Amino acid sequence: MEKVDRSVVNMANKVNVLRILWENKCIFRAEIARMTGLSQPTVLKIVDEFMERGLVNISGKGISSGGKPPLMLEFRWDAYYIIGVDINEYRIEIILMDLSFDIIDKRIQDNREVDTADTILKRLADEIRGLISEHPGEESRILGIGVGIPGIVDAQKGILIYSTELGWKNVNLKEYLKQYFDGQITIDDSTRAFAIEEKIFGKGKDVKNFLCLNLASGIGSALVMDGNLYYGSSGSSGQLGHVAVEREGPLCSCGNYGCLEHYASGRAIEEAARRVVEEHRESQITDLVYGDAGKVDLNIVFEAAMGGDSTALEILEKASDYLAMAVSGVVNLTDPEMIICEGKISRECPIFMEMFKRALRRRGMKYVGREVEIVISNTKSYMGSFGSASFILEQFIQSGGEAERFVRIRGNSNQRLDYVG
Amino acid sequence: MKKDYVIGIDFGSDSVRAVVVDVTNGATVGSDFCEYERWMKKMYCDPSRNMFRQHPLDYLEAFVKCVRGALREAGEDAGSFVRGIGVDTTGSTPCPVDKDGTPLALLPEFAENPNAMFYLWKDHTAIEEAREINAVFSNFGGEDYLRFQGTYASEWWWAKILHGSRVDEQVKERAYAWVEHCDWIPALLTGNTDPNTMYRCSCAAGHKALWHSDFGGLPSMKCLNEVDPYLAYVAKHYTKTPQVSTHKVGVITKEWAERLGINEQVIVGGSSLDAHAGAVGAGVKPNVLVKVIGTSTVDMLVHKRENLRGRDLHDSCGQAENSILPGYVGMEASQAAFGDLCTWFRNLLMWPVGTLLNETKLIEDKTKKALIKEIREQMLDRITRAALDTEEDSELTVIDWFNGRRYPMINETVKGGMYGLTLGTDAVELFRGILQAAVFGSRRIIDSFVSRGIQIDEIITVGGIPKKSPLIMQMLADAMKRPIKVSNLTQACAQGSAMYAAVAAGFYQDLEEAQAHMNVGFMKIYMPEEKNFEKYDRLYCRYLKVGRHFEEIQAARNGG
Repeated sequence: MEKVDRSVVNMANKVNVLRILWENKCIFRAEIARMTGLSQPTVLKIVDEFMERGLVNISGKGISSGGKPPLMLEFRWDAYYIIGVDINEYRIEIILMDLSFDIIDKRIQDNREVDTADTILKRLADEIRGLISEHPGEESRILGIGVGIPGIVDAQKGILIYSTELGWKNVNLKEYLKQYFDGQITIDDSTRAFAIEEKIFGKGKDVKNFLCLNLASGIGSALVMDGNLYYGSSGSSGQLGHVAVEREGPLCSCGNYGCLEHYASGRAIEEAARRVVEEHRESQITDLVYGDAGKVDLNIVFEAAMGGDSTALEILEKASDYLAMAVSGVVNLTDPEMIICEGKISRECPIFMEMFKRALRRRGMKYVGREVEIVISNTKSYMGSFGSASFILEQFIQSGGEAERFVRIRGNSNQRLDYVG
Repeated sequence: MKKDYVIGIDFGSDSVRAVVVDVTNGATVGSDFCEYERWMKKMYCDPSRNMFRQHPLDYLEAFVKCVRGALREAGEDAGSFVRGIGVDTTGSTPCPVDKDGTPLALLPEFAENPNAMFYLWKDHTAIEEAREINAVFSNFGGEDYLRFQGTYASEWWWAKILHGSRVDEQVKERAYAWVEHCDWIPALLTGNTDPNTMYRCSCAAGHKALWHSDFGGLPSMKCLNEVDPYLAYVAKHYTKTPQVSTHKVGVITKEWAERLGINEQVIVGGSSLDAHAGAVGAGVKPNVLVKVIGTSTVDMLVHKRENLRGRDLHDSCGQAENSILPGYVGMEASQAAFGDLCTWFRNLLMWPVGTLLNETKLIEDKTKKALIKEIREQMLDRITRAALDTEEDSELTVIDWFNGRRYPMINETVKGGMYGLTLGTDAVELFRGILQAAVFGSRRIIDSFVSRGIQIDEIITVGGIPKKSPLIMQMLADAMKRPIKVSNLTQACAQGSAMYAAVAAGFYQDLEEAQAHMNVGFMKIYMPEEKNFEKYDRLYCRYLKVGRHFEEIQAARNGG
């Protein structure tokens, strides 16, 4: 009994020390001890083990106030590598990165109109294989492949259950990739990937409870509660787009009626704008596309709103209010400190974001969520693949820096499994 | 004293310019220009059919003459201080070449055949071919090869090649490959014109031949073959991956060093299309739009590829990798008429002057001529001054599509127009309305970028109009709510090419560094005046609305 306990404690200590080493570029041993509350000899033992495994270097000596100068420890970013993958309706993005998420190399491919799940996955496997074999120096030390994809994902089994964005249903991504690669492979929803990336690097770094919103053609969401990504019982939490906001609303493909997606998603905004043109209503939206409804896209609505057009502003106002209805529910239920937004709408339409903030304030309870802060993800540096890779990194840290299985390209794998349900 | 010069060459539509530039500060130490001899005699052209061809000898003769002229001005021994040469040309200006890469018109049997010469950018003989190309390229097995450039224009590479091959069996048989003007010059100067291995520039390749890394190069052989097997044949001999403008193509050949009067160590840099070089010369960088204003405009921006992924910009601009600054996607939009609108207005008002004044017996011929000349020269300046004093915002809305509309949402069939004429509308008001139309056309381009998430902080203008018309510049600043900087350069394109040479020859690491040292600054900055924002917003809404109605009228007409 005692033995088991000790190993659990040992592991927790290791994880703790490793995280501190990872978060601080250079650090003294004594400082680790101070930060963790562990004894110096314990830290010494753990650090020695990491050093043996090549995870930590001694980078130089500090200044001594008498006696032996303390040794400066440095995390070795190039000890291992990770492959992060992001798949969305526009493109696949594959990045080989080191442990500090510095990009070693990348492959980005636009998805084409002809692409199906079949051709995209084939291309994905080809590109990953190409990327690995072009980097013989890193090849033997890749911890895993993390894949992010928008939709309902069974993260445990690695199955994409449904994605409106891609129009895919029951695609066993993990099984498919396992035909080509050995090693750790994680599949998760891209909004969750975004959330964990925000938690590690981004604006959610020191925030315990936050909500992530992906406002694009569809609506994605993910919750971090008490510092952990929230999955729910079947791993399908985060379906904010399918929260009903209209009792008498239309039937949704999800089975419910009057879902948020029908009122506040990019698709819904576009649809409303298209109707304006089709009905030949007097609006800058109609003018900007010169009366051609086929030319309407989200950006036309943004452009008209920028120009002060009342119809466009009304469409956005309505959408933002519906969004606020659903989000205020989440706020009441989970009491987050922060809401971090990503996606085309949040990046390209400040007008919408202002409206959303106002609406949320209006719909906020008097007693709950008064302080919740709405921010836009730091878009300049963000790439979806970092989020996907974060799952691999997190697992690596959680395992106390153990890395026994690496990614390997499998030999001849001509036979294909039936991975599309 | 040791000096380091680079030469920038700008092959324009009528003439070629050369500038000799001090590499340390970008100052021009010598410059010259030279017209194309045969071209000025209107040889090989048929304006009634929109056929415009240029003889390769026109280029070479004028090139040698003006480089020598510029060097003479740069002082004694200037040729020995030259370290590099960079080039820009018009485009798409392709030419059929034989297996050695020699333009067919340089072979005796083709010397007088216009189909064997360079097809100048404004040659519109390939309208039918462009239609065919659009039909296939827009959806070939599900791939849209037009998604980065939009509708394929009859002015561009594949359309002209197809046209040439269809109308001239002999040219088709002899033409092993085709080259862009801007690729041929560096290739020639370095002595490698073999079509299979010669230098090709990213700028023309991307914007005109549709080269893109997402396609793995040019449109697929299958696709080209579907249009016409000859296009696939041409593509087979376009094997080299395009290179950036700062690429060191090679060292100048002994023969060319001698002909130009420069030393034999000169590095030949890469090239680009002229407007793109102009953008570089004027100081393009992320979030800064360079607007070259002449008869029409070219509006250019650069952006990192990562940030453009998933953005659909094909209605707003053409995009090509590395076409302006290496490492960035170059974006190019344009207005089909700008300066041309003013010229139209002047010509309109000149009718009685040119006609009646010519016929009058009241004054003698010499005075007549002088008077006509004076009126022609002074009219625009004078009316601009008058327009400057009329501040009232009028009921009049003018639409600037006198030459069709390019961006956003290209439509070459729409026409210009006016709404809101009253019995009180006078020439000054009409002129102001026309300027406003040009300015709103510019705003639509900017708004279309900004609403697609492309940040634009300021605008640099290049050309004669920005220097001459403070009225238009202030209107632009107010309507677009952004500062407008007027470049000091008179030869922005040649300055840009000189920067290519400076980087290729190793003086600077990249164009950004070259720009920092070789930028000659701005002659004026127009700051937006907030008090005018509301007025221009209102007038702009009206412009959009009237434009939409005109477009609908045109659509009905097109529909029959």
